[in-house]
Amino acid sequence: MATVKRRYSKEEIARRGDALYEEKVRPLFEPSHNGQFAVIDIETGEFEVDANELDACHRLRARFPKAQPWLVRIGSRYVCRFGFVPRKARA
Amino acid sequence: MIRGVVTRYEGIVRLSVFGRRGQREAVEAVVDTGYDGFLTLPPTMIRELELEWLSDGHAVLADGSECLFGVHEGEVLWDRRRMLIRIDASDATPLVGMRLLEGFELTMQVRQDGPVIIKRMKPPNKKPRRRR
Repeated sequence: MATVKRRYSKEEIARRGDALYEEKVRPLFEPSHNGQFAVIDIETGEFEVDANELDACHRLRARFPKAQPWLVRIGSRYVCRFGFVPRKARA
Repeated sequence: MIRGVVTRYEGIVRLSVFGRRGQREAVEAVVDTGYDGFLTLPPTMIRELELEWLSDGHAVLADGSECLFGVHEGEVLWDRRRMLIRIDASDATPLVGMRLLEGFELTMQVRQDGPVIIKRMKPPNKKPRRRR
């Protein structure tokens, strides 16, 4: 798989990704797919849904090799919970 | 079976992470049952290993605040098996989370130098139905 670099800031990916989630994913997949993962390309608005987030990301990348993806756990605002407070999250 | 040790109230285990070019990095990670992912690594290590960036996402932290983090993938050696897993970027001590512990039994003797044992569970046996 070819390496893809982030071309937007994390904040921009989050802003556009959350808007696309609200518009395209939530109406179709909540609550029936709660707990699964949606990965959304913020440039095309296309997305994949799967219980396995790696599978969803790989399928989206196969369709859109230059995708700029945003990952959401359906029915939740968070992909995961860190049981601590990191110094900073910046990668 | 994976063996670790309790050090200053943290259960610490070692695992290997493989980079894109096959390089192998030994990682000491804290077992964190409050983390519901697989593994966190600091951004510097993710860059060194050239782990594939998959996406970004939101996380909630222990104090209720939110952060944005990079979602990557990489191979780890876990209980003598290589597994492709999600690796979350976090600028802190590496953490082993509940997703990596799925299917394992975790025991810790919580005292300085106490053992941490992570043992693969057998799949549950289905009891044959008794004939009357």
